[in-house]
Parts: sequence; C-alpha cells; structure tokens
Amino acid sequence: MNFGLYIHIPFCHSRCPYCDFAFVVGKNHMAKRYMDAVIVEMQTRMQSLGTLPVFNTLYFGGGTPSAIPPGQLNRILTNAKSAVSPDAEITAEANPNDCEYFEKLYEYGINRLSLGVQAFTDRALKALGRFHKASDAIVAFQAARDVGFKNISIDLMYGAPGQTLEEWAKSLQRTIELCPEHISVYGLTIEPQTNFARRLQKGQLDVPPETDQAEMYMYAIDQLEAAGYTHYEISNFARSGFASRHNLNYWHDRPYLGVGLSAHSYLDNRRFWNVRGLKTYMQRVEATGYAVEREEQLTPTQHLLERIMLGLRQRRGLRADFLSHPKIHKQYIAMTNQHLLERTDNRVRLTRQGLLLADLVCTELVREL
Amino acid sequence: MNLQNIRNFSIIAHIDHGKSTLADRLLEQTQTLSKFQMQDQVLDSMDLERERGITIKSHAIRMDYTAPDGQIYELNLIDTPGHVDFSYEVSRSLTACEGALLLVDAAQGVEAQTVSNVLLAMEHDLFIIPVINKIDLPGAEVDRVVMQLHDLLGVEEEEIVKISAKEGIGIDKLLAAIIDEIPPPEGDPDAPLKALIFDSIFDQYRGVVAYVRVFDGVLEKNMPMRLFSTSQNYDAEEIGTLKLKRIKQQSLSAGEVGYLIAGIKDLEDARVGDTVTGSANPAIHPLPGYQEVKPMVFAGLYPVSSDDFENLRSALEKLRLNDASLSYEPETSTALGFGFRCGFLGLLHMEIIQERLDREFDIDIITTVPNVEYRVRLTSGEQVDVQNPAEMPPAGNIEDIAEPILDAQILVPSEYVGNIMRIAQDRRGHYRTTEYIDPTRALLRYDLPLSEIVLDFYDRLKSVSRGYASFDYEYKKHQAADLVKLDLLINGEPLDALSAIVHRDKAYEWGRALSQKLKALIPRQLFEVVIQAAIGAKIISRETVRPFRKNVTAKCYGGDITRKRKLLERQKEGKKRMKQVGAVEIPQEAFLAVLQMEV
Ligand SMILES: Nc1nc2c(ncn2[C@@H]2O[C@H](COP(=O)(O)OP(=O)(O)O)[C@@H](O)[C@H]2O)c(=O)[nH]1
Ligand code: SF4
Ligand SMILES: [Mg+2]
Repeated sequence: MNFGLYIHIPFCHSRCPYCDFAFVVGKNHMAKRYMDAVIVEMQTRMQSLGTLPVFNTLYFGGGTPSAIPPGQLNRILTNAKSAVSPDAEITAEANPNDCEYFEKLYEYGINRLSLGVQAFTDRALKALGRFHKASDAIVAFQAARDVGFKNISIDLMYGAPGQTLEEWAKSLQRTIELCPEHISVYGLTIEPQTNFARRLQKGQLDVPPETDQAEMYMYAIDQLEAAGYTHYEISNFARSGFASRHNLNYWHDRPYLGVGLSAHSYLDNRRFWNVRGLKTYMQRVEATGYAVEREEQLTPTQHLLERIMLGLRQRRGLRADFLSHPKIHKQYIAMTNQHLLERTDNRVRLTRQGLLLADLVCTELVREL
Repeated sequence: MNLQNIRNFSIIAHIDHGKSTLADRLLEQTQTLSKFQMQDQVLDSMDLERERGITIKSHAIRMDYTAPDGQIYELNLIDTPGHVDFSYEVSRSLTACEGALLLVDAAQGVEAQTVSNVLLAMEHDLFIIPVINKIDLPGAEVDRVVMQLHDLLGVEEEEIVKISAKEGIGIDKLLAAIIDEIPPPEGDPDAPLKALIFDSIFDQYRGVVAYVRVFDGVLEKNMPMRLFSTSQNYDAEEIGTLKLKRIKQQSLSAGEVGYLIAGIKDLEDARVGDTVTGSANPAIHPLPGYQEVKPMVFAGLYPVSSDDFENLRSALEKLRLNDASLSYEPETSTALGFGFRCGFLGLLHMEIIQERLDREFDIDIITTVPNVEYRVRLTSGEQVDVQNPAEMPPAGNIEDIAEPILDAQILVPSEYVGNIMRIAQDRRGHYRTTEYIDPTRALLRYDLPLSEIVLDFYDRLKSVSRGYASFDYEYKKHQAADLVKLDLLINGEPLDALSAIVHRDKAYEWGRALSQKLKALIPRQLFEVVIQAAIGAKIISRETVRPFRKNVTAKCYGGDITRKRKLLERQKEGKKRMKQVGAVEIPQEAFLAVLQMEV
C-alpha cells in the first residue's frame, strides 16, 4: 500500500523574492501552537479514515521545516508512529544554515534530508536573495552525512537573474562532486505577485533569455546522466533506488494526506486543501479539527487530464493505452511525428526536445478533451 | 375616416437631431400615450436600437388628434430608419407619406444626412415642414440654421417651426403646421386595391405582419388578396391600425395606414416596396419604385467552435425572419471551416447582426474582414460576381475587375475641407463638386469606391474634422479599377479568410502592415511561424514568429495537482478559441486584424 503523509511547516527565516509558497516569516514563536493544531488535524483525519492507515512516506515540507526546533517535528513523528510503516521514507526539507539541527533530525527518525541549496556560487545565491553562502551549503551537506544521513537530496535552481551557462555549470559540477543520492533541478519561475514579478515588470530583473534557460536545462540533464543519475521526472534525478518515494506517490496517482496550512490531500478521487492563513488555520483546527478551504471531486475527464499531465512529467512516460483515447490519438500521432513524443515498449514519453516544451505538448495532447 | 382629416408623414433628420424625442412628444401631446405609459423613445423598440439611439426598422403609429378647432384628425407618423445602410427602407417609408418634418438640430445645423434626406423627400414629392429642434440649448444658433434652411429649401423664416422636443416647446405649433400644410392623402376608394408594403415584421405567433399604406381601393378583412412581386394569393385574415398595439379594424381605405396579417409565412414574401391588390379585382399595375434590396457588403461568419455550425445556421434563419435584407449562403474556408457568407446592406447592418448573434443567440463567431462585390470580366467573355476574395478567379483569366462606386457627400466646416480632400484622395476618391451650404460649410461630392470606406473611413473623417464632418452616400455604379488579389500565407499555406482585393498601388503597404499585425497577434508556438503576403506567386512581405524554446513548469508543488490541472484546463480552453490553420494556431483577433490596420 502506498500512502503518503505530508506535513506543512510554514515558518521561514526570511522571504525569498521568487517564492509564492505558503510561508510566514518572523512568527516562530507560534511554532508550538501551530504544531498543536497540526497534531489535532492529523488525529482527526486519521480517525475519520476508519482503519488506521499505513503511510509509506512522510514528508516535512515548507516553508522551512528546519527553521523550527526539531523537537516540534519529533512530536509529529511520535504521534504518527503507529501509522507510519517501519521502512517508510521520512523526509525533511532543510536550509543549509540550519545544520546544527541535523543531528537531532536524524536521531528522531528522519532518514532523508532535502537541502535547499539552489546554487553553489555566491553570486547566484545573492541574486536569488538567499542568505547562505556556497561554502555553507558544502558544510551543511557534510554535516548531514556526518550525522548519518544516507539519503540526501540537493535542490538546485537554474535561470537565476544574471546567470550564465558557465556559472550554472559550476553549481552542477560542485553538486556532482558531493555525490548526493538525489538532485532536483528547477528552473526559476517568475510567479505572479512575487517580488521578482514586480521587478521583472519594471524591467529591473535580468532573467536569462529562454534559449539560455533551455541550454542550462539540457546541460543539467547531460551532466547528471553522465554522472550516473537517472532522470526520472522533469526536474528530478536520482541514483538507483533513491527516487523520492513521496513525490512518486503524487505522480502515480496514489493517495496522500496533507496536514498543516495550505496542505493538499488526495483521497478517494477527491482533492481537498487547507486554508493558507496561519491564524485562520489554527483557529479552525482548534474549533473543529479541520481547516479545509475547498474540495473537489474529480470528474473522469479531470482525472484523465491529471494522469496524462503527471505521466508525461515522468521519464518512464505514460501508459500507451491512455493515448488510444479517440480524442487524444490524433494529437499523439502529430506530436510523435514532430519528434516531441516517443514510444518505448508500451509507454509514451517526451523526447529530449519534448522535455523543453512539456507544457505545450501536454496542452496540445489534451486539447480535444 | 374622411380623407380630408388624415395626414401621413415622416420625420427625417440627421442622426441625433432629435427624431425619436420628437416622436415621443407628439405621442404625448396627442394623448396617444399618457405620460404614464411613456417610456423614452417609444418607437425604438429593439433593445439594440434604444441603446444605440438609432432606429433600425421603420415603425408606424397612428395618433388621433383633436385639433383646437374641435376636429379630429388621424395622424400617421411613419418613422424611418436613421441610417444610410437602410436608405431603401427610408425611401419606401417616404412613399407612404404626403409630408415630412425635416428636423435640424439648432446647434449642429444642416448635416450630410439632412441634405440627402431632403433630396429623397423631394424625389417623393413630399411637402416638407422645416423644423429647428433643440432651441433650448445654450449653443443653439437658430439664425444660422434658418439661413441654412433658406439656402437648402428656399423657405422663409416664418415657414420654419422652432421647437424643443425635449422641453415640449413649440409642439402645438408643429401640430398645427402638420394639419394646415401637409396635404391630405388622395386616392380613389372605388378603384381596385393598391396598398404599399412599407415595412414588415415577423411576429412569432402571427407570422408576417405587413405595414401598409392604402393608395386606392379598400383593404377589407377576409378579402382574398395578392402580392404583385410573387403573384401569391392570401386571405386578409386581420387588418387594423397601429397604436402601440395593433387595433383590429374591418377595413382600411384609400389614404389610410395600417397593418395586414394574411398567413404569410416568410418575411421574404412580404417585401418592402411590394404592392398588395385584391385577387378578385386586381389592379393592372403595381405602385412604382419597387426594388429588390441588394446587399452591398459581404463577410464570412464562422462559428468559433465547429459544433456551432448548425446553431449559427438556425440563428441566421431566425434573424432573417425579422430582416429580409440579410442574406446568407453556406461557404467553407480552409482556415475557418464551415460558415456562411453573409450579405449586409452596409457596415452598421453587419455590426447589428454580429451583435444580435452574440446577444440573442450567444454564439461565438469569427467574422472575416468585410468586402464588397466585384464584377469580374473573364478573358472568356463571361462575367462573374465575386463576393468572397478567396474566390477571385486566377489573374490570368481576368480581363478586368469592376468595383462598386458610391456617390458620396461629405458635409464639413470649410476649415477642414483640405483634410477631407486628403483622405478622399487617399481612398481613391474621384472629386466631383463642392457646394457651400452656407459660408462656413461645404458639401463635397466624390465618387468613392465602397471598398475604401468599409474600413474605418468614417472614423477617419470624424477625427480629421474634430467630429464635424458628416457623410452620406448611395450606390452609383460598378467601375473597372486596377485591383489585385493579395493572399496571406502562414507557413506557406494561404489563409483564405484574410485574402483581400486591393488596389495595386496599395498592395505592398497593405501586405506589409497585415503581416506585421499578424506577427503581433499570433502567439509563439512549438515551431516557427512564417507569415507572408503575396500577389500571385510574388511574395511582397515576410515576418516570423519565433518558436518556444522552453515551456515547462518546473515543479508541481507539495501535491497541489489541482493548480497545475486548472492551468492546463485554461490553456486547453484557450486553444479551443483559436483557429487551427495547418498546424498553426491563430487567435480570433487575427481575423479582424485588418480592421485595426492603419494603412
Ligand atoms: N437639449 C435638447 N436636447 C434634445 C432635444 N431633442 C432631443 N434632444 C437630445 O438629443 C439626443 C438625440 O435625440 P434622439 O431623439 O435620440 O435623436 P435621433 O437620433 O434623431 O432619434 C438625445 O440625447 C436627446 O435627449 C431638444 O429639444 N433639446
Ligand atoms: S525558504 Fe522556501 S518557502 Fe521560505 S520563502 Fe524561501 S523559497 Fe519560500
Ligand atoms: Mg432615434
């Protein structure tokens, strides 16, 4: 049984200028009360599931889970213990500057650390508005290894303002030298209503041109594959056996329970998500045990859309029988002829060229649905 | 009613000079409607008319008026459409009258439409009562307008009635003038029946309702009757007079105005201008002047979603029930699929139809750029009429192409004459004459190709004359010109919906402007899009839309699949609103790009 549990920790040390996640800054004094609420919500949810679930993954995401004392995360781990399978993948996202907490995290049972490094050059880190230095990241990685983590992931970001291919190559090179088990490579996305979006609009943000971004992405794929990583999802690479099981749950249409503000859940063909405000979340959970903002029951078409969208993002691709759908087949053939999709046995996946244009290909594929 | 006590008249005026307002005042003053029933501008009944302040269809209403001398008069006010697109309908309405009130705005003075209306009224031998309206306005220049009317009609100041329709000033005097000066109808009640259809509408429950003016004889309830143009026989099921509602009567006799319901199914069978006569004792000749209304402007109407084709057909069918001047034929376009080539009386008519399709039927349509009808002589000696540029025969088979030319009148304050002449020249106008309506206002006459005013001419006129120029026209003739077909190619494929017939001297500029416009409107795609303009095999301009190099969402954050799916759904719906030409996606606006071109 694959069933994921996601815990959202919204606290951050500072605000990153590109971020549109649900986070709060300077509210760490609320951590205890927040975690109380999270535990209440988790328990109410689990009770309402009827039989006790068995989670095969647990993921502390954020925000910055390492921004609050590890003991707070441990409260969750103790509380959920009976519902978490003994061989579960238990991940915490962490900031390189928080390495003094790593030992405790490991001790409490977290067995996978996802380090938000973003870059191994100080210039790029500054351009991204991050407060750590490249050297801090290297120290953090070593610290994680030293305390015992055998599964470490590094998050990298390409396309930082002012970034060149050479600079990006440097970050990649240093990452490969550290030999993490897992690497995520995200292109900088300018989300609306962020500081970056405003600067871009005023012409004050020098984002690399699309062709450079494409080159950076392709370069990353080449380098990481050459270094022995498997490219298993658009933005994710792993050594054999280290693909993120938690994220695979999302992509394989499996159920998950999300707890904490803004967390998303997927159960019985229903998707629901919590409110985004810290206060609102806590008050609602304290009063009712829940803090759901909206819920949707997926229609068959929506479900199909999601399967296609998520399937295409994976390098193993999508089961070919999805593409025999009468409203999809024609576009599938056209995309294949344009060398954007390719068939491998009974699966269909994006070609290298297709990877760069994944969103367009996906939209094109489902346009008649 | 004694003929001596009947007056049939219209109000003619340039747009906004107060025709509808005056009609309202007359209805009120004659107590046809109580103040309580008054809704502003009662005669403009379609929503669209009231909103745009124009009368699209003519209407008729009967007022029973007790004059100060105690006599009761039957006043039939026949409203006319207020736009040049509908000039044939105006002309038919005027035929039903003996007199016309020529209404002129005291601040604006005589305008182009005033002049053309006067000419029309004179052609119909109508007695014209000049009326100056809006004398209440602070900017009223009554003396100046008196002079203009004097020049135009040779009338003296005492013959002019000065009113304010809005304030109700001078309406009594106007009613007195109508009774004293407009001649009562003549006609022989004992002669065979001749009644003119001056308008017809379609009533959902009753079928066609024809508005008629009886010239000779008597139209009686239940009599067998016949229409001249079709020789079809009907029974006059119901006849009556028109107030705001229909009022049944036993008969209508010579001189009277009213309605007729005779089981006519199709509006096309009760054509405006046709003559009704009795089946038993038919008149030998119809009333003069009947013409078939011919569309002047053509455009392709295509459903955005091909599933809507049948809906569009039934919507056009329904619109046509009310509007026999709309024509449509199915056609196909390689770019746009299945649609209809529609014929309109003019641009306003086209706009009205588009708007009604949108409002009343909620069908998303793409309209191609409007064009005129070309008369093409082939080298084989044959002649063909081309209503769709895409169907222009190959250049090699063409002897010559003739285009419709208008007799256009532009009335403008003298200081703008130079500007107007420049535009007219730009638009290939052929100058004819200038007349001065008064020392400050010139009436320019041009022969102007209709194709040159289809796009933005009117707006240009207004903008170079600070809004003062007014414009009117009528069709004059077809005339050969050096015209070429300009094709637009997308990745080598002709986009037939954007083909245009243009004058050779303008082809280069046109092609370049159009390709640039499209470049700005076509979104980036998976591959490069090349836009070319060509005359025959000769490419005259080329633009490219660079392809996407990268378009991929980096991350599906924290299990929030919904957000990404919604984005996908939105993009997918966006694609549905695009037209696919070959593999290229073209937004609807691209097909209207030409309308916004500054050439
Ligand atoms: N001040 C003033 N305004 C008037 C008068 N008659 C009409 N109007 C205004 O002129 C505008 C056009 O009038 P309308 O009757 O719709 O003109 P139509 O286009 O000829 O039917 C409206 O805003 C009226 O209120 C008048 O006597 N005095
Ligand atoms: S640390 Fe992460 S969640 Fe917090 S502001 Fe930065 S990007 Fe956003
Ligand atoms: Mg009006």
